[in-house]
Amino acid sequence: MTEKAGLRTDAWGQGAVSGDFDGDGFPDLYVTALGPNLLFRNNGDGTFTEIAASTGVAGNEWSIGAAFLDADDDGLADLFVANYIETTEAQIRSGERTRRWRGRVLVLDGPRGLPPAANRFYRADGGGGFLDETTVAGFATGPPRYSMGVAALDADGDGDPDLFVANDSAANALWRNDGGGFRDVGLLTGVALSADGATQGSMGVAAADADGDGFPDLAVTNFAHDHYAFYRGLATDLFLDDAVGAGIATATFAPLGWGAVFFDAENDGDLDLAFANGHLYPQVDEDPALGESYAQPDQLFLREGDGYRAGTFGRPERSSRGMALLDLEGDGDWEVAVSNQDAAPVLWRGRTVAPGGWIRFRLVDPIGERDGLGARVTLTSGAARRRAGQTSGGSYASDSERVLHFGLGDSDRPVSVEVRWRDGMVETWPDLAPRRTWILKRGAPAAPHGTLLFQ
Amino acid sequence: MIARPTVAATTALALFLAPAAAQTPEIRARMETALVHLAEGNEDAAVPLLLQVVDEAPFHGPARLQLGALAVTRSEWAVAGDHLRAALEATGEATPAGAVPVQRPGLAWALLAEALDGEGDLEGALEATGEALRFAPAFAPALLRRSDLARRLAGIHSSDGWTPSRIHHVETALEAAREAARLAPERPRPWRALSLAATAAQVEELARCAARRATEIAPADPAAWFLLARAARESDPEEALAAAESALAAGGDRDPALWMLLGELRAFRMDMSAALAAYAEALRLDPAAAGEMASPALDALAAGDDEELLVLLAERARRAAGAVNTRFTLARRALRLGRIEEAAGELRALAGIRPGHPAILTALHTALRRTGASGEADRVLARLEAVKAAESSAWARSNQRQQARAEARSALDRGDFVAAAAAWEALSADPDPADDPNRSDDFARLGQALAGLGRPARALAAFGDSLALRPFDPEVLAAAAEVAASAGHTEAAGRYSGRARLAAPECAPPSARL
Repeated sequence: MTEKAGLRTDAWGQGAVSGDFDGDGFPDLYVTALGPNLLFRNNGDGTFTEIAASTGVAGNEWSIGAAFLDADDDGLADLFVANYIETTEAQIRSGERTRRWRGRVLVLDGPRGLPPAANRFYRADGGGGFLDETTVAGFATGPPRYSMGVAALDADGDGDPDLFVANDSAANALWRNDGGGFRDVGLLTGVALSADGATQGSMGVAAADADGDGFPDLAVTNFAHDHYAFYRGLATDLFLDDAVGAGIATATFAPLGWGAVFFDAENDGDLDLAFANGHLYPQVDEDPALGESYAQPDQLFLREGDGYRAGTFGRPERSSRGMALLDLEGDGDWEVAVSNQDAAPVLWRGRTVAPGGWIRFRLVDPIGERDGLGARVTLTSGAARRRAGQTSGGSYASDSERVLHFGLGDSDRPVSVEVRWRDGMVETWPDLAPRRTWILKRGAPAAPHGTLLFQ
Repeated sequence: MIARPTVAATTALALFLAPAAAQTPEIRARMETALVHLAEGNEDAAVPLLLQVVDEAPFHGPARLQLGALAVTRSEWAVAGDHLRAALEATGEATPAGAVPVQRPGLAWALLAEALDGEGDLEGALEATGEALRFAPAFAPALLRRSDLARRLAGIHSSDGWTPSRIHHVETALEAAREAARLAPERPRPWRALSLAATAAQVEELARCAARRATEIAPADPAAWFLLARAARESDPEEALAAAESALAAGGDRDPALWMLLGELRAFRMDMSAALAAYAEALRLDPAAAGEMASPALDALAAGDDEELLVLLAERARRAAGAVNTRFTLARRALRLGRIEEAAGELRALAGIRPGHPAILTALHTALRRTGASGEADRVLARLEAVKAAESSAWARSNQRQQARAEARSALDRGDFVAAAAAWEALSADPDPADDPNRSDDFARLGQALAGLGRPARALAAFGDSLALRPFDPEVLAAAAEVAASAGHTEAAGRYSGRARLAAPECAPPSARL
């Protein structure tokens, strides 16, 4: 289908994010690459047309993560692209192994010592194209870092989307959106460094209010021989790396993490956590003393109390990179898709053990950004209230199905849902039956999925 | 302990050989009676006679030796020291008038070493055993005693870098341990001592080889396995882990250092649960081990349900204000548990002790923001930013130096001595504290390049700079010896090659005394 859909490319692809940049109701696809990136416009008939250069978002860097967001509340999807190193394919292929990983096997050196590439912010111009407003929007302040994963989220609860950028071997950035202009508050808010005050080799990020306290939390995957970070949101604009307290530090010290997603794996009403793992260096297989392998198990941390219990998805173990969520079977539990280095992707099929109820929402905003990016959904089920935001990007170079999913535990009662749209307007839909996906279109009654999609 | 009959026999010999003019008939008679008492084990009867002798003849070496030996057996170290020093004074070249020398000065020195060791004067004891070795190279008990001292000396941590005194002591320790291993290769202790001396000399291969010998001789000796584990941890972590597990199996489970090493080695193998279990055991045996523990590990232990460990850590934090790691872990735990004021107070105090510690500043900033002390939080943030900026600059500089180093190495490999010398010279002339571990190698390679260019004087200076940082690097010593010899500096060449032999990675007993 790739060929017929017009998606075949010779680019050295890195990642992808979907978004309805032209607001026509059909999801488009932005593909990051080493060299010019690609924007595939959805033609609405199952085919796509590549228009990155003509819309001004091709760039020419080594791009990894990307996220759509309506930064300035103009109803249009803007685009942020995380870039890694200034290099070329030829330089990468001719690179010599000069560094010893953990004093043993020889590997390629970097990224430290190599020139970092600047990130890009493309603002939608309202005419179907984009303007490179990296500098205007404030993203050029400070030196570039080696950026990887990116997640759009409302970190400070002010209703507009901020951006968390996971940086490799450099402080992570949290770009706070102040009316369409951004400034990095990573260090100020506590997400730049690990609890040890160290920069980590950050790769991917999962963002959600994992503990339901009203403040977003961030799980960040890191390089091997260092634990992943768990930035617990303590208050507005304040995080604490609590990987140890969350119970993920010990189990994540060995693996090298990339993709990361929060999701309710058991439909029991709390958010579990998954990581795609795989070493960067195939050479680790040559030295058993390292205790490492190129292929590594993808991890699943089930939430227990205020923390997590470590586990894995099982076999096969591959050197994984991207991780994304989708309900492929439409049965109310998530499948977890994992891309692998030099190996076929893996789809972890959701098989909820507990007979938990669930409900899912797909947002449609005919006034603002079509997918409702930046909207905040509050679900009331009995006495419980839970919130989730409509975001884009996240994980590592991946994007998940744009659906808000709530596990309901053993409840099968109707729920009420409130949506605060990106422009601040609030709508409520009461008495929605569980165990189905609802289309919540601004100004319209809720409709079961399948009847209003793409209207 | 030096055996009593040996001392008595030596004294008898001294009496026989002593010049008649130096002893009155009364003194000789008292001494003979005292020796008879000693031979019968009647020390109480012998001592007054000996004391009478030294009252009349203060430099009567044999009497002093007897009294010193008796004091050693009774652990009266200061008394022993006084008598033995007097005995040796009576034996030297410039002896006082009327002095009666001891016939076995090596034995006197060995006893004095024991006395000094008992007093806690480790370095003095080592010097005394050095003298014993000089007088009596084949005197195995003294040498073995010395190897024990060498072991202890080598264990002394020096924060002053390589001072001439430290180099001398480690060299002596190496020499003594090598000699002890030559004389008693069937015993584990000399090999253990050699391993320790080699560790102190930073000659890992020798330390490992000697420790392996010790484990072959005494497979049930946990100390030998521990040494092997420690010596092999960098070059062969698998052998190190196996050795550490053997040390544990051999009964080393009361040694916190072994548990710490096990934790480190298990962590290297990425077996984190087992590593934490080992660290926990180390803490239980010695809460001060917290000071050497990586903070994520300590954090993980403090976050567990082990109340006993928490009590131990709290007790240590209460008693030792300088236990920064422990105090920080507990402060961070308080912060995590929402005890904000407690956390902020402790972190503030810790930031006073370690003002540039990024982890403390990070946690303090969070705590202060939670307490609402925004002004103070801003100041802490500014400090943190400065620390991280300096860290980034250091990284950038380090990267540049690594790149220059790689280019210089490549020039040296292809025989371009001019380019190599210029590059190493530039690196060596612009030292960077963050880059210290590489400086010795920089100087050594500069020396190589200069030698290649036919500039022996400058090459030797560069080797000297390298050896000032790593005085026992066998390769540099060998290179320096070669250059010195070719330039006609025989004495320097001998000095370098002598030390090179001591530090050589091989641990077979040498055929001749070094």
